[in-house]
Amino acid sequence: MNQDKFKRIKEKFFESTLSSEEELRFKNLLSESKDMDDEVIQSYFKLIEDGDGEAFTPISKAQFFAAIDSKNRKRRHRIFRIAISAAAVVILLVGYLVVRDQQAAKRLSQAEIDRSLETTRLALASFSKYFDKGLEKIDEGVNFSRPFESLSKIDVDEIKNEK
Amino acid sequence: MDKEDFWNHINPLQERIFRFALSILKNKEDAQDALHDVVVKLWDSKHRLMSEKNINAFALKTTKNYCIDLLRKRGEVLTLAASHQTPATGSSYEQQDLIALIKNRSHQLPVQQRMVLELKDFQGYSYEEISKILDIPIATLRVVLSRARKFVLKSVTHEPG
Repeated sequence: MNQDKFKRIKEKFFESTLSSEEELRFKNLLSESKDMDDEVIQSYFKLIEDGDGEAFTPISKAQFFAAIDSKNRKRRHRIFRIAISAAAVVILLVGYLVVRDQQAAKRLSQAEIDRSLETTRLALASFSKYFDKGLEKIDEGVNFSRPFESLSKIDVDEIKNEK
Repeated sequence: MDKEDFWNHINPLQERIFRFALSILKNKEDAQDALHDVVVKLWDSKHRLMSEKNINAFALKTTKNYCIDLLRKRGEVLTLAASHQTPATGSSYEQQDLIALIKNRSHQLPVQQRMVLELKDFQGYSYEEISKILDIPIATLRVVLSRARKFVLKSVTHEPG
């Protein structure tokens, strides 16, 4: 191949318009050249061939599985914390509104206030137990969409008996 | 897709993800962390991953987005122009010196040119695949690659002795 043709193919390399066949031919022609410019390109191809020498440590299957499990557990616990905080806020708010409405209607006796507070505490305890059961199921590895049973199944009597 | 299936798809891509991250972040430890985080990110998008025709391209696109976000968070300016640093020069080079110079020059490239150079020249992807990974039209890719090759190779070649 004459010099002009080689020059043209080199230009195409720098213009990024070489086809894969032309690139292969270009590499072969380069290896015969002693020109300094061409030595740089030869070194570039050698770098591509040999790699940059930076060894990497692949992630093992066990590491990957542990990372995924930990991530899922963290997410479940975050959702659980949000859920229980929201439930507590709702219960306290409802309790407060009930007491306030009753106060507006009539003056409450101390016994009524105590009963109302007792009911609120009972509701909170029921919810806490409900979430505890759900959390245990999560730790046992139950699918996250199903660990919490219907709220209608909360056993208030059981809580009362415990007290 | 369960963990086992996912692992079988992603495990062979680990080195490509690492090399690509390294080309963007220019730091081995950061690239290693990126590999870990990208694999977990891919697991989070496993449903999308399954619907992708080219899992390879999807994984590298996720890597690119992760690394660019990381650079932005660190406040690194992602310029399009190459930096004006010049490497040590000499009239005659051994091949190892030349390789070191080339590596040095490629680290000075702006991030877009580094990504294209890595994917085309070092990882051997086609223009079509790179276009999908980087969301850049093929014509633009050729221009970017051309600039990158000229900057890395001609600057070494034409430096005064």
